Amino acid sequence: MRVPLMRLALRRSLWPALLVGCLAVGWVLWNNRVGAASELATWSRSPGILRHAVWMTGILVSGPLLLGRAVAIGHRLAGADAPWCASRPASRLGVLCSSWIGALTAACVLMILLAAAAELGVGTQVSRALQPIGPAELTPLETSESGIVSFELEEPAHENAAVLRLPVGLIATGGPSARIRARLMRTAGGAFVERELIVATTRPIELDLPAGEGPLRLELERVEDGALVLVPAKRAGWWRVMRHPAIASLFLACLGFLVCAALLAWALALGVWMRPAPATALLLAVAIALWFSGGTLGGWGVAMEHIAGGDIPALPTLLGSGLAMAMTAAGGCLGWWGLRWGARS
Amino acid sequence: MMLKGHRAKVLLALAACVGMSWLPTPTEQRRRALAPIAAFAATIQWARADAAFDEGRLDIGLARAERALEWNPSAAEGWSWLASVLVHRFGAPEFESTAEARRTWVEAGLAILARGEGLAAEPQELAFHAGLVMAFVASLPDEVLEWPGGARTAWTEAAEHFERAKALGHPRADAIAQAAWREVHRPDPATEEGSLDPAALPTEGSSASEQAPPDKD
Repeated sequence: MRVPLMRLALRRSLWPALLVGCLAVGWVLWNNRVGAASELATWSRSPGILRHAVWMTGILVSGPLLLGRAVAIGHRLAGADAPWCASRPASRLGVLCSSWIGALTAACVLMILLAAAAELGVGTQVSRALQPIGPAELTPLETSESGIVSFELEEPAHENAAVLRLPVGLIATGGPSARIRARLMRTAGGAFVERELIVATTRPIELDLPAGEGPLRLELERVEDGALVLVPAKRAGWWRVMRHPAIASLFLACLGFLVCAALLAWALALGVWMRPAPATALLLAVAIALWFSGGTLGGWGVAMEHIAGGDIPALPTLLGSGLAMAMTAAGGCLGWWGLRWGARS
Repeated sequence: MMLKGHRAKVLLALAACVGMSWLPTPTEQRRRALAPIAAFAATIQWARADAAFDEGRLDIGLARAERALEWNPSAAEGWSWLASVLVHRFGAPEFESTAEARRTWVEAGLAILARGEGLAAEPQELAFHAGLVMAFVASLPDEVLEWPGGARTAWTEAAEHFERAKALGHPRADAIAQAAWREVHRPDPATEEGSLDPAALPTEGSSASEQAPPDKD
């Protein structure tokens, strides 16, 4: 590793994104402060919304700038900078890795600042924050009583599971909403949790986990006529309650680190092979596609929606982390290949 | 140390961030400089707000709606649509189980209309809409909202909103205001929960749309 090259990449990557990002985030914090007196502030100024606003602004403004600068660094490494970019003889892989570390450090600095700004923007507001920790398989049960639907669930594998979230659908026949009674109980008897609620949207039903051990039984009972409520999936989710919602920004920064590592490696590599503008456009197109897609590497858009809803993103899975590292390595290899074989010469 | 040579840039960035968060409220003239772009962006935000409401994420939907109103405050349709959602969707017995919660949504809808009157290009439409909301409140059985003062107070407020709409130049407000005042002064207490003469009410579509979010400026 070449420390001077790391510093060079850090300087080149950081300043444009930092300056413009600070201005944009400052604008958001200002707008939040101006709008705090709204009559809807009770509902619309939730910690999740404020956190989401700061993070989205930072990602949308600083992200493209960071990628653009990384592409430009890769392009210069293969062209104008090649004869002088190391003070001593340095391998091409070393030059590339040093530049990647510098650019990644810039991304980390930005994410730390974003996390700090997001949590400062949230301030001292307190809300219950949930984090997904695993699926809950729903096994339908036969019931003799009409108007009651039952499911069996296994004991949650994670010991901190505290809340069951059940996705529902709604068909507005017989009324715009339905009144149902949801009951989660231990199959062996004993403790149970019951809620009577109006289902007027497709917001998932939340039920706290009753005390005790063993399999569970979920019952949904229609209380009166109204819309049809559907359980569209055979899988619900177990969530745990986080004591410190501010940890959401920390988890986001961790996820962002993995994503940035892969994207910056590919940015440097594409910069070696292509002109900066099309390389940046290609990377942004891929990033946007991943944002809206699902799968192991995608789903960032859904994760940010969870943030807006006050939830905390799930920890990176082993598969996701492995894939991100594999993509990073693949990008590095592509860039090294380009430098070694003189892609720009 | 890298930061040593760039201390001025760091300080500049931090100062900009902190300084902007303490700037005073912008004037409407400054905000309206970006009106053409903002109107388009607001349209997108309205669609996103509607989607969030359907998914039951009220906080997200309201935040997006507020953003849309901030970007395009002159469009009366936006204020009206949001007020309709608050009053007729969230304030309905099919959505909220208690009268207090329903009343809170109705009051929020009225507050939105009142705020919009100061910012929209057609304040008379919003004043008229506020009158219609209060007429709707007065026509409901008392247990639905448990409105303070009952139906007579609600009719009085409706009439005052219609009078204000008339003063602002709404073409149909005069006739509706008279009908509302008749309800206020109707002697038989049994009719306090009665409804406004349907013939005096505006035809469907003459007031702000409650069916779909605004899609244009």
